[in-house]
Amino acid sequence: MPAWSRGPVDMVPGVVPVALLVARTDTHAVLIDGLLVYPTGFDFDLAVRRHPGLPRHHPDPRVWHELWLEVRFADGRRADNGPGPWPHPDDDRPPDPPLLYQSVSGPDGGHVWLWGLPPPGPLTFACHWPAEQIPPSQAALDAGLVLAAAARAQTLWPDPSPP
Amino acid sequence: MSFFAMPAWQPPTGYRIPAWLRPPETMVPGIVPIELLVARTGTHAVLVADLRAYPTGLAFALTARPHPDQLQQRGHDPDRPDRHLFRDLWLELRFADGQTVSTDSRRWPRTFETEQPDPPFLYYHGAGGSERGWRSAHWLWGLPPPGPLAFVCQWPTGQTSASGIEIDARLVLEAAGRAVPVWPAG
Repeated sequence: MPAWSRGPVDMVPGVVPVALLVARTDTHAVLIDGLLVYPTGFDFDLAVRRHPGLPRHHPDPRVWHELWLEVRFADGRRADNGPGPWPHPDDDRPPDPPLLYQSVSGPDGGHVWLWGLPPPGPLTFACHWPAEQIPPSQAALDAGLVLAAAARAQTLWPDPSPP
Repeated sequence: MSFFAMPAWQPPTGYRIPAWLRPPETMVPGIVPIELLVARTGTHAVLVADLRAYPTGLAFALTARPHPDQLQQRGHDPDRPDRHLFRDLWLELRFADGQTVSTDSRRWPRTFETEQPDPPFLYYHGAGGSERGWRSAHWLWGLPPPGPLAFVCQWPTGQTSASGIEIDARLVLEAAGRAVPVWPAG
């Protein structure tokens, strides 16, 4: 897998000690948590929660395709999960960051990789899910938390010291 | 309805996974700000990651990662090609009060699905692997008492002998205190 599509397998990521409630209606909520940061980008979990007063839902695998998600950097760059030209996994040329890349998707959300680190300033997560009446919503955290976590990431097998 | 007209299938209604078998769906977790390198050999490493604390317990992932030189090995046991290399990876949590829980499901009480077990109780929510490693998701029902909390792993099939790391359970308890309801009462 190219470096831009996943976190490096040989590193312990740094943890961002924050969970974000991005959207909440009377029936649904959208959470971002599990932010694990590497020098090349970060993983996070997108989780959809349903109010316990609702009738039990049928498993709905469409979350990733119906829930629109965008990550916005303080310098104006952004990445979303909309359909769009995707770089080919065999292409060794890394795409310009940021790029959102889904790795796992299920009825309650998914696991997402963002290629690229944000600049200092607010890091915003925005979502919109018309099918479930979730209006455009957003939440932000200080990108400094992400950058500090990236600095804490460690190589699992440091190169042996020269003799 | 004729004999051959089958009623439409309806999913079971009303069933909810018991509170002791999964993190609460209506809470935003408190994040435990650490990743734990539990074991490392020249070829593989074992981590405890994604620690999320709630008032009722702790969710985390157990992951095994190969050295980049091992990525072409496809993650399968050479002696049992149908099995992932880390399928038998074993983890035990040791609490300050002497109690222990482990990933060995043979220690689960027979009635765990219908009767609330005494905490601590370690459940798991599935696992999977690829050439990039192994990941299993776990739920600890019950929070650890204050004091040292040890994560010890052993990989019976080979390279990793018992190895572990100890943290202060305060990190987990403080994170649990930061968990908040998604829908506040009222």
